[in-house]
Amino acid sequence: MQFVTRIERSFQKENAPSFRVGDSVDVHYRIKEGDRERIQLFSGVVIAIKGGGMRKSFIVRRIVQGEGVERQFPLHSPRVAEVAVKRHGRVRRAKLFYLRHRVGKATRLEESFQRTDAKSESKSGGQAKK
Amino acid sequence: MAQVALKFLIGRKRGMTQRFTEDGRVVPLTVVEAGPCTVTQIRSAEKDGYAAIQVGFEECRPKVLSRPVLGHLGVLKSESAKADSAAKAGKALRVLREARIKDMPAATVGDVATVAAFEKGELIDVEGISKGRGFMGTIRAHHFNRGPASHGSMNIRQPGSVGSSADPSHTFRGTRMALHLGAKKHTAKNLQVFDVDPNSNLIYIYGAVAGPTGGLVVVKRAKTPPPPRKAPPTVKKASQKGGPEKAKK
Repeated sequence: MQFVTRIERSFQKENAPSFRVGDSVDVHYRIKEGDRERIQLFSGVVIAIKGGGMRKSFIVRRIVQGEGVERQFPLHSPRVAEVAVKRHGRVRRAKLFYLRHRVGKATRLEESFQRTDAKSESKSGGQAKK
Repeated sequence: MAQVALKFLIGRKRGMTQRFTEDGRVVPLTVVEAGPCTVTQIRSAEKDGYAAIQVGFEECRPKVLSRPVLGHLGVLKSESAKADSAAKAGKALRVLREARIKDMPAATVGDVATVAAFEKGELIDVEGISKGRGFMGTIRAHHFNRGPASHGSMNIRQPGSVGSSADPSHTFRGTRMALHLGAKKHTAKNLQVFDVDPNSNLIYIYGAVAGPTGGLVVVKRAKTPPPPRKAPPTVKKASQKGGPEKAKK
């Protein structure tokens, strides 16, 4: 497998967006409408990061008109233009599927101020594992 | 050493991966490290009864090969008369295969074929040896059904009857039974080339190819390309073969 992982590296985004589970993010997603291309925002909480290497993807959850909406994005997709971190949530697990069972105020996550520098931190921590 | 645009390369499967197309779709790919292959012999209809180009792949220590093979490759020649035939000295190549394809390019012994002969979007056949599954029962090998597991059933994975009685007194040929499954040559036909990387001898092929990672494969031009129809939704850059269908879009 090593051979393929090495090759994959060259096709991954060089500066892949870095964020963690629990972060509130704005995903800038390129959408093609006919000939025009525009960027759509999808903002919500990252509830899971899964896969590794080229296959790494993440799930963002938000509430739209009282209905929970989840979208999964491949991290290295050229359509994912940017992932802007709005706020770091303090979470204690890797997958936040428990948020699905919660409604209203209970879905809020405590903000983590320790990780305001998480950008650089998660780069070394999260990315190195690939 | 001249290059030949020979659409027949021996290589090794390096595994599978996925990549994004320009429009953001994910495509499953097999990575094959193919070539460079050296032409080791030209077979002609007059001399050998058929026309073909024999190519060798993967340089190895001469010790690995038998003396007859080394002689064929011209390695021994270079040993005995180093001075005068140094230029013609052959390399010890582990794998030899013959290409019997129509309209073969003119090649001479010593020419080198690389992945550069293939281009994006082209259709190819990829031959490999499938993974061996061992001796498999009829359920696995032929998708037979299973008998009941309980109520005293003695027929759980048995094949059942394999024929009639006194007439015809034998089991018909071709009756499906347990067999040694896999470890057989399998050619994946009409796969599309997603990308070619001549610098590292890599060829990215849409879809799966028989055999384990590291297994030997042969990449060649598609023998029976399908009639034009809806183009596979993969490659943006159209080649001659994938071109006309794409025009609709």
